[in-house]
Amino acid sequence: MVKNEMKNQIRRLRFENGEMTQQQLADKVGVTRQTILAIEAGKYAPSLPLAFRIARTFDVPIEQVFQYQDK
Amino acid sequence: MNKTQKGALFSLVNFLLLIIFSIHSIKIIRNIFSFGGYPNALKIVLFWAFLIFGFMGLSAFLLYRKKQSCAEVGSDERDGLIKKRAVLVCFISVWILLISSYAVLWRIVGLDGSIPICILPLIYLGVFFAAMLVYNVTVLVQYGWGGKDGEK
Repeated sequence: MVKNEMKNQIRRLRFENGEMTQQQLADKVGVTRQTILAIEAGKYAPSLPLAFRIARTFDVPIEQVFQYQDK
Repeated sequence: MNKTQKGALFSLVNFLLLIIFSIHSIKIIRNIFSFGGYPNALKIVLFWAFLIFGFMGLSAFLLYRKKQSCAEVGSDERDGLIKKRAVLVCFISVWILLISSYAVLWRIVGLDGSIPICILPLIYLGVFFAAMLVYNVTVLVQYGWGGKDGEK
């Protein structure tokens, strides 16, 4: 069975964007801080619209925020 | 801890308090009918009422307090997913509890036996309490451990 894993660069991007806090990012994309925390920790895979909103907040393509890897 | 998680935790504690209070009340009522009284019955009932309503008030205050920022979100897609899954688990548990309680009654009373009419609403009440407990525990477990789809 193929295992998959989704990695993300949210933490790095936050710090590159003026050390944005999780709460600030959450407010900008319209979710709770706990959801940002869960996404960063890889415990929750966001929906496609939310993934796009996060990417647009950092002004980068979605592939730079989320990477999908087959294991 | 977000609003949904807090809500589930407060509901769980409130339902547990209500269950303990109900058990205690049954004991008090049984004693009143059997022995004609119960020492400090009114004080005990008032204590429980104060405890339950006090906790409910505290829960409401903490849940609906003023937001830290106007952009702060109460619940989002993850909370929705968690609630949806909890409702499904709750629905399944209601069916399991109802069928198993009828099966137990059937086993005890038999096909030709009869039960007092008050048993039926008591079963529904018990199933309702159990379903609420299952719902709140499922919500809390999902925040703590994570589920399968959408979460690791």
